[in-house]
Amino acid sequence: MPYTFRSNGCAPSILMFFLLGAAFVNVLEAQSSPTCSPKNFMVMGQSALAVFCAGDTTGLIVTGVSLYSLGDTSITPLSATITVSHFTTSNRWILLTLAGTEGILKPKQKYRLALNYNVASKQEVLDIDTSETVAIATPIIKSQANVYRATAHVGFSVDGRKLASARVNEHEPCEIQMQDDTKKPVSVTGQCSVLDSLPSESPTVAELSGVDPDRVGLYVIELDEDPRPSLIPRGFPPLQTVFGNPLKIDPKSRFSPQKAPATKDASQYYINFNYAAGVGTVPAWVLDGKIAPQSGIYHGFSFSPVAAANVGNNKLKGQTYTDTVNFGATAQKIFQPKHAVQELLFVPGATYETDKKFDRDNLMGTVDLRYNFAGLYKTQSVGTLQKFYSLVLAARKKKLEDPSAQVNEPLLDDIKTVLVGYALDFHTGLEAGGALLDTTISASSGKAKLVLPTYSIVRAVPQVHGLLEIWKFSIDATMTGRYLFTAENTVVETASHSLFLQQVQGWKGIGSVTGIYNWDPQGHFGITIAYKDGFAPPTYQRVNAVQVGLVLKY
Amino acid sequence: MAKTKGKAGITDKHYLDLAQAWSAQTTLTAYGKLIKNSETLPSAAGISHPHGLNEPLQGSVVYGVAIGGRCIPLPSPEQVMLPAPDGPADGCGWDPAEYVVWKNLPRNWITTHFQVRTRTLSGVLLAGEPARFASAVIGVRDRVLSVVRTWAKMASDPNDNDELQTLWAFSKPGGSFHDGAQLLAGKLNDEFGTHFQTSDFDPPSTIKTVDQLVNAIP
Repeated sequence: MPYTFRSNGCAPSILMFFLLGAAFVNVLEAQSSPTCSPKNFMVMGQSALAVFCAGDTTGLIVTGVSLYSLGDTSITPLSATITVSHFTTSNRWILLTLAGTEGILKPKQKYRLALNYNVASKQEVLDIDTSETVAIATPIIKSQANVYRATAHVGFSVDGRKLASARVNEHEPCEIQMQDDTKKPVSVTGQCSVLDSLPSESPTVAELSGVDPDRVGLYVIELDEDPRPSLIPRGFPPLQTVFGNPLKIDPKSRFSPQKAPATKDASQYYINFNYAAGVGTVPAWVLDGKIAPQSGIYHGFSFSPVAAANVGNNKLKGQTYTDTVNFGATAQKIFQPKHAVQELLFVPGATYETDKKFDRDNLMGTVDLRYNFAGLYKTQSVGTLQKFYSLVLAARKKKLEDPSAQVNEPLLDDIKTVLVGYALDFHTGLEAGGALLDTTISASSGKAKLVLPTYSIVRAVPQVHGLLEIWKFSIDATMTGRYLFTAENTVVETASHSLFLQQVQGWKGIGSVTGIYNWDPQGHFGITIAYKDGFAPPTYQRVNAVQVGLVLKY
Repeated sequence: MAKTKGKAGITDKHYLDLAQAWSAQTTLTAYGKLIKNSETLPSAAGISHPHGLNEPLQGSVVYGVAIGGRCIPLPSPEQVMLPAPDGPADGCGWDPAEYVVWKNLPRNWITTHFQVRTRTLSGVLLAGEPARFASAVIGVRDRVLSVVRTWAKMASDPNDNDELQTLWAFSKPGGSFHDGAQLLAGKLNDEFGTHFQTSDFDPPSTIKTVDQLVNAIP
């Protein structure tokens, strides 16, 4: 139900009203009326404004609204009758419709809006600029780097002054006229928002309140190709503003290709090849790579490739490293059963398994089920965020109970990291397939060779993974068992570099424990020590290695 | 023994009359079961009776069909409104003690098809309506808030500046935020028909807050 105020700046009418009936008031917030702390605005027409409030406006009580015209050196009260209404589409926005001799907004003007509440004479102020400037926002969807948003604080129109709103996720072919840095005209094709217009240039409150203000002053453009180089838009015809004027493009706006990711973590493809040479030594090289192309989610399954190497180079007496290289792809889907198993991660996949010499050719289908039981995932990060948000909610509750009180929400940086964190999960898996070909294995030294015949693979793979964090220390342990139902062939090299064929069956397990000490509180610099012991496929040679390293993360 | 016609071995059984030939092309036979207490008049269901009769239609579950004498079991049973059956099943190996048969159902007859799918309420209620209606009845922000609220198992809507990672942590999760990002991407894709991926929310990502999420809906 709308409520009306007369704004003359000197003596605004004071009316108390409730914007929504009690039936619609949120139970949690019914004890106290919220206020609107205005954060944003949208010009919905010459006589209509949408104001975005920080928080739910259900049950909002406004006792007066005043509108002023802002000059360079003056503030002039306007004689306008302002009606406050709710949107049916959103409870974060309120709708102000203007009437009266000065109830018409003009383009390229600055106004000030003052909202009064019955809470300790509280007043909130919002400055409004009706400049018809459109800005192009940098794409924020990492996987959709060609989706740009043209936004303005003044609503768009495609038909006179009729307010238009962008449909959600509906597009139509479009052509955008642009220019490059040399001012050469360029025409770029893409998919642009489908816009819906209100039936008239003077819409009713009911018509305006049915519009989604988050979709007004918005035009989503998905370019067919990356813009190379940066392109400056020349306009978006036939778009204009609700004042009936052409859009003014923000001179800083660009359609720019996405920058390369700054870190390996942020990259889909990452290759860092280093080569070193010195007098009296053989050249050395190091390849640090990552292949993780983005993949869509289909029926809840997320697809991703696997390219994992876990190998060591050189030999120290008493030290043997794991020698497993995997290529393949997995799909994963998360289920959330409503009982003790809080999360169930189902990961089917296909893997090509080999070793660092690539003289194994195992092809397998794999299935892994990860069980996360309730209460067993509370890392330091999760614990700290839980503590932080509890304090945020407490602050909000206090503010709701006493809107006039000075309550500041805490910042995450104010929260001390919790002392202890932990995580424990369990896996059961199955690997089935076979060694595809007879392969010839060569000894690491000498001329000994041996044919490794094909064999079948059926393995049950249970696994337990645990993480314990105490202060700056963390210990991450994984215990993986493999029960080989069928005998798998492997070639063993003796100390004298002779080769013999061995069959492996039954239980083969491998465990790894990694300890990390984070030197600084932010975890930029750390010392790691890792210990592995057991038998890893496909060679099943004894692994027994301790590695110490430094970690530098910025 | 069937009477022999023309060439050796060709009998009456090898022939159809014109009506039968037409029927084989335009009708089908269905095998299935009846749903109790589901009778309704065709006019009430907004459809017509397949044989032009003013007899009630009945909710039925069809398990298989026969077209042109070929038996085709359905990969999954389908629930449709059908007229009264012609009797217990008499072909295609369906047990007459458990299944009934509907014969000569016009293939192009418009009936009501019931499907059971899991979808969000708004996805069901707003699907098929003009997008203008879909986007206007519930605004995109409120729809995002609803998705996030469900995802993070919250008692009330989150604030616009709340960080997704914080909300996930506060939901006492079973796994890391990477899992949460995948679940959130899936829920948003179900709600909006978008193509979000796990990496769109998994750090380092520019979509960190609820408000940024609202502004990421294309």
